[in-house]
Amino acid sequence: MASAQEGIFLKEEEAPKAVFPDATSFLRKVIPSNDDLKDKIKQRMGKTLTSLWEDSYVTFVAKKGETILGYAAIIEEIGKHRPITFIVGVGLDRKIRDAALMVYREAYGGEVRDRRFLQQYKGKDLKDPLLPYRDIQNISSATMSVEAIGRGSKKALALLEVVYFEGTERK
Amino acid sequence: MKSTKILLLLLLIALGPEKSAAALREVREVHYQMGTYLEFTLWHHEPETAKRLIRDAVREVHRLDEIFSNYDPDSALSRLNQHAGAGAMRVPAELFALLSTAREFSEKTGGIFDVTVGPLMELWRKAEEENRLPSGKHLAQALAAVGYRNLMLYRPDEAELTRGGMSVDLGGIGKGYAVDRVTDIMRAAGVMTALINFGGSSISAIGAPPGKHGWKIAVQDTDERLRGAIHLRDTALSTSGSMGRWWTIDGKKYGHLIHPIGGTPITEARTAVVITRSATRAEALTKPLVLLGKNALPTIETFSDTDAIVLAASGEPAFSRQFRGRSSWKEISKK
Repeated sequence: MASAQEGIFLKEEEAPKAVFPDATSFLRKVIPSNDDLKDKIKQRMGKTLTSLWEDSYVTFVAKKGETILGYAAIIEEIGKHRPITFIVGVGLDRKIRDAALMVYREAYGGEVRDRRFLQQYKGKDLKDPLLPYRDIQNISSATMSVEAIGRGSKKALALLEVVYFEGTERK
Repeated sequence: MKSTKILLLLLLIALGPEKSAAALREVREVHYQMGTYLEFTLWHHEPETAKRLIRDAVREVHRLDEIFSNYDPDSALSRLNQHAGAGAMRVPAELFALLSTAREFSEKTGGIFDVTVGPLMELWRKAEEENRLPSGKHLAQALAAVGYRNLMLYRPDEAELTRGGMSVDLGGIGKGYAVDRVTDIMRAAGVMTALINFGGSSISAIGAPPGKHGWKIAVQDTDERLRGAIHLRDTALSTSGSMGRWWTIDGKKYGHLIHPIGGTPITEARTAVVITRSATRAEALTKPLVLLGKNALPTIETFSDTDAIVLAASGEPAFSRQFRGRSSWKEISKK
């Protein structure tokens, strides 16, 4: 996610619609976390390592009329340096439909704050509009890391599997 | 009276564009599709319309992924791969179109771009798992199942992998195709200003942000430093690097790009950038440049309206012949 600039992309009330655009209503459910849930999530994630520090998870049941389209969960994962927050939508086929970034807290994933990068401009006025990164809209990169969102998506998949597909919350 | 009309006209000219520019709002969303992020930046008078267009675009990309994915055993591509050596089969129009385009690029690049590298990808993936280089015998077996000439296409909608064990991997072209489709959706809806960035490697620019003459895109070097910046306007850009993803075998790094004729992955650090009208073309043409370096520039120069840069671990960037006349490059840092 290194190319995104920090900021809020989606508010919580907008987020489920971003991953389930066809849904007409969303049922919001907060799932408290406990050791049992954490163990089950870890089991289902297999070799993928993730941090499970959350006290609770905000989830949604996406419906079109009375028909359930799928489930969504708001997830946090550590990006390059700081947590990123995103929502993951999973269809009834238990496959990820989409994920959408909600909050990103790192400007350009740290590249522009990189000491080595900034060193080049030592002595120049930081307000200088010619500083190349000030108006960079995006970074084209061969080495983008999307591991955090990949890990987080698997965490959401495991959570929704435990809670909705296997658990008592299925509606 | 006449002077009042002129004054009014001048006032309208002065206020008109400013008013419309002021009404433009930036809408940004980042989604996760095809195993990477898909970032949209739209300038639009109606943010809700922009958001709806983004949803439509994401839906289309998701639909394409269900056709092109080789992770999903039920995708049309997976079914074609499973059918290798067993005759022709009908495929969705999008898969037929993309395979046709891929085959065309294979012919024009002398087979250096080849989507039938699937068996080699599998061979090297397995080599990493076993932490052992593939044997000569296994390499020869995998190579025997690679070759775009054995990918047959029969109009209007049939494809055939003529040899058993063949498999197509659209990882080197699929994102570009999706970006082109998204660009089409945006243009058809009247969007005048947008940037679509798929995974940092496939980018399409529509118009320019308000007050700018283009979308300024920074390019990372092989060591991940920002090396230069390019302004994009109504064009596409793709970047590919040899060491963005790699296999580690016996302590040595092998890039995920494999030479389809020799069968071995690249080990040199190299980054290629291609700028052209189509993101599909841009993405495909970065591959020969990464594999062959600046030696592939003459091949790239045979494509119309196509510019390229090759960045190596040392030395100055190498540009395609007409680059300076058509594209901009502002150096951010030197080696």
